[in-house]
Amino acid sequence: MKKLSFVISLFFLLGNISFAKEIIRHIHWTQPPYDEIIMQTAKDFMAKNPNVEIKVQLVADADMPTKVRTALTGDGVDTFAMPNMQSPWFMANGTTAEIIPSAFGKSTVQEVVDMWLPGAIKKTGGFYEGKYYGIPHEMSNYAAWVNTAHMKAAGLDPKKDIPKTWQEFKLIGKMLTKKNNDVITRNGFAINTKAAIFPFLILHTLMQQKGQDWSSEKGLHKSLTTKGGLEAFSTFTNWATKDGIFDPGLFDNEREGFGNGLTSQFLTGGTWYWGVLDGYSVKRNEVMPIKYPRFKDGENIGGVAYGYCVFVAKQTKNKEMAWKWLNYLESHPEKYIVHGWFQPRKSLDKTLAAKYIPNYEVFGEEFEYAASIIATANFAELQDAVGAAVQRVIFEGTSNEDSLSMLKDDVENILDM
Amino acid sequence: MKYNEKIQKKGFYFVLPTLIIYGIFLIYPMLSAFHYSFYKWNMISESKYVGLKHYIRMFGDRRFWNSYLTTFHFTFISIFIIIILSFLLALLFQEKIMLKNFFQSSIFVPVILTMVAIAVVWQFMFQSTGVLSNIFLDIFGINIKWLTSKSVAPYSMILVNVWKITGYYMIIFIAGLLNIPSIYYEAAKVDGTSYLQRLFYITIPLMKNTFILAFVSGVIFSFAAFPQQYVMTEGGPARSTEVLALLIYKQAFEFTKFGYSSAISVAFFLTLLVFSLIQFRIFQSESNY
Amino acid sequence: MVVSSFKPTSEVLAIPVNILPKNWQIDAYTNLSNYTEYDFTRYFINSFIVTFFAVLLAVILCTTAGYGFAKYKFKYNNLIFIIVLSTIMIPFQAIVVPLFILMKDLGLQNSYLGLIIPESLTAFGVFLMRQFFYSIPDEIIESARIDGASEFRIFWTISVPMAKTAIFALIIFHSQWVWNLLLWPLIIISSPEMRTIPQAIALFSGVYFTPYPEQLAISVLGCLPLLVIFMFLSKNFTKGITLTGLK
Repeated sequence: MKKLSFVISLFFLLGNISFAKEIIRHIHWTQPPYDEIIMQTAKDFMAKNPNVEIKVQLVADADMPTKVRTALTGDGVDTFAMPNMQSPWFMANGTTAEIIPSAFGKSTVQEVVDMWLPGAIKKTGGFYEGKYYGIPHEMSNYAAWVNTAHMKAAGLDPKKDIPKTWQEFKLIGKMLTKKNNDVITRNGFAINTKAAIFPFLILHTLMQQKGQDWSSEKGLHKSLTTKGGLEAFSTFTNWATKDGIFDPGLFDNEREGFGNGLTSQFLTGGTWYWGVLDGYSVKRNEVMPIKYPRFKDGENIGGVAYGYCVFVAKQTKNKEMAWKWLNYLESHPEKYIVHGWFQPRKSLDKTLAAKYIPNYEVFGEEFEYAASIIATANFAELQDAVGAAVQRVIFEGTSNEDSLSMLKDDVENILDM
Repeated sequence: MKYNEKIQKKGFYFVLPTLIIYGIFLIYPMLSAFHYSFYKWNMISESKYVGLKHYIRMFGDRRFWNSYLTTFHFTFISIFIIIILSFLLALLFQEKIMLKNFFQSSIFVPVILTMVAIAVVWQFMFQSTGVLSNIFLDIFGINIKWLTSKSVAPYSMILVNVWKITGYYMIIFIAGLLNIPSIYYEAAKVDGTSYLQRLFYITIPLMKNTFILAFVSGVIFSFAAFPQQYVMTEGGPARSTEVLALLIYKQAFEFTKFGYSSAISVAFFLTLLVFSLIQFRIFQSESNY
Repeated sequence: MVVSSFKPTSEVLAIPVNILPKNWQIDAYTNLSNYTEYDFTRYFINSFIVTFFAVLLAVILCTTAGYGFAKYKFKYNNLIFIIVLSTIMIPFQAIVVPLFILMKDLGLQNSYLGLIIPESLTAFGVFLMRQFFYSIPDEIIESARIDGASEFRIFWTISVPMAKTAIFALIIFHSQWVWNLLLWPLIIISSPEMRTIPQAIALFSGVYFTPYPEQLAISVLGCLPLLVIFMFLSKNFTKGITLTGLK
């Protein structure tokens, strides 16, 4: 009897040891239909690594930074995704762990970096002050989108009359704007003026095209007192104020507006937009992504490049396993490309991009000239200040010069200058 | 009388459980938040003592004062409208009206709705080609920029606020009216008084406690309101709807300036505290009868 | 809103706005069952459990405290009341983080208690009950005392029934507030199984694309329980109270 109970308790002991799984808590943003791919990948990883349990927490995109921050102080998080606008804060505050090459089967960090396209990690926000902390989950760049059906209806030729300069962009916008008495019923161009990030991203490109350096805090500050900076800023605000091609009151979200045929052009769509468009009334063959217009004597800079990386938290106990999981998560770019979601991993068959993303050449070519966003922990405040500067001009009637001057004060406060 | 004192002391025991639980879960975090107003903290790293720096910054911060005034404007106009409107509705529902339950419920429904639903509904109303705009265009011939005009947007927020919580206060007033014994009205009717006389000499005085409740709590709640601003305007256009609660949220959760956010919270708190104390001094709550 | 949940996505956002859908669809509702990763039934159950207990605790705390403040003249009565009331004078966002750290230290994060306790706190409820208890005539209480009843007995058998309408009002308000709470559950809950309905609704807001009909469908379903509670309680409301005659 004693022997039996000894054996039984030993059995339980061993059973408990083998049942003691290693838990990896992963926080990711939610975007149907990609969520299923992530969940399935987690299940596959667990099947391959039975002693590991991946707990995926999906959170709305806007809540991501808050959720990850509280998780870092709370019951913990092991791995998480973060866009390149937010990730510098996490890297700068020492919450992320550096890449561990052995988890990828490599011996140096550089070899791991080389598993992705050149510059990909930097552009997607996984690099900070000389060190690599994240691997890419998504990389996008913005193209300009035009509604070719609208163009045809206005007597324009979608092949020849595509806007190549901002001047042409404005003129086409004017031709395509529809009004009912004085109320605009269709925008020639639209952008979300409520969420500061969107004007910021477009301005980013405009500024770089005017020779300003918005890839650094100093450069951004300097641009606010230059002629080029003023020109870039005014070009943007004029679309809403003087050019008469944009009424912010018609709708908030330009991606939805474009899909509903309520704006003829917009500037914030990536390769993923094809999938989004399918949910709206405007059809794929009625639109076309094109290269961002340029200034006639400006720099050759295309729409902004941005992305998302996945990170390992510094507080994670088994960092090597965490990186193994992340490497696995990011090894299936072919699953995402079918939805138009581009992952810059070298293992991705290049022909797939062309197959699943119409007009992929536009994005691919533009990417070469895409502007890279600042990696700064102060991003949230800077973005908010820029958004306010834009809103002052559009909604308060402030002059461009005055608004930029106030922005300069705000930036100096933020950067403690 | 010693006996009476003993009994009065027992009252404390009724209050004790609440005091303990509120003490741990609310007052302690509050004190903690006040403590952080003297530090620089981003929720992750070590906090750094900065003394009065945040307060000094706050007094000179244009954005803070804009927020403060916007909040006052929003609160007092909302409450003024809400109290009058909900009291009138409560009176109305005292009478026999057809489909009373239906109307009562439909006035109350906005209270129940989640902010997401409200935002979607009102977004349609407020669009420049939306329902409200079309109505105004037909009647007044002007196209109102509900959410895209610096001067109109605050009123749109007030409108949503009134729509959302009038039902709330209507219930409070109904409950208060029901507490008035009908004997008083019957006696007054026998004496030959008019409806208005009864209203002003019986109803309103006996509703004093309810009015105090509605006014003080209404001001406190509207002062702290921010979901509709967060969802519908994000504080814009040009910060015209950036109420204090929204600014506090942004400073803490978007800019991770938790210390500065706490300093603003202290200012917020002191304002409401002073307000409540003044209220209580002027309108002592009292036991009736 | 209800009507919009029956529209296909393209119509929800069409301009000019059509109030009634051109194509009535219940797809949004049936689609909800396709979201296999989201256990909506579980979220409803979570919301129910949390709301029920939070409201119960709130009613207990508020009625006892409100009674104590209104009907007794003990030392520092007013001061303690102001202290309790002051807890609604600070915006919740300001105390969220310290409260979260406290809950973590107590080991209550990601638990029902972690949701229930903080969500049962409502100084407004204390205020409400205090005001209503004022309107109960002191004479009734006095005569019960003379008859030899204990304080608690008086409270339970006399005062509470007389404050019925106020208690119902409190139940309505508080359950509405708890049910729709998003910020606190977002911060303290880390496992998907513990999610509440508002979080489920927020999950539909994708970064590039939001399936509005589905989001509105779940919002509608989410409102129904509250509506039921309200309709049930408001019937009792109108019954009113009859005042026992004063001797």
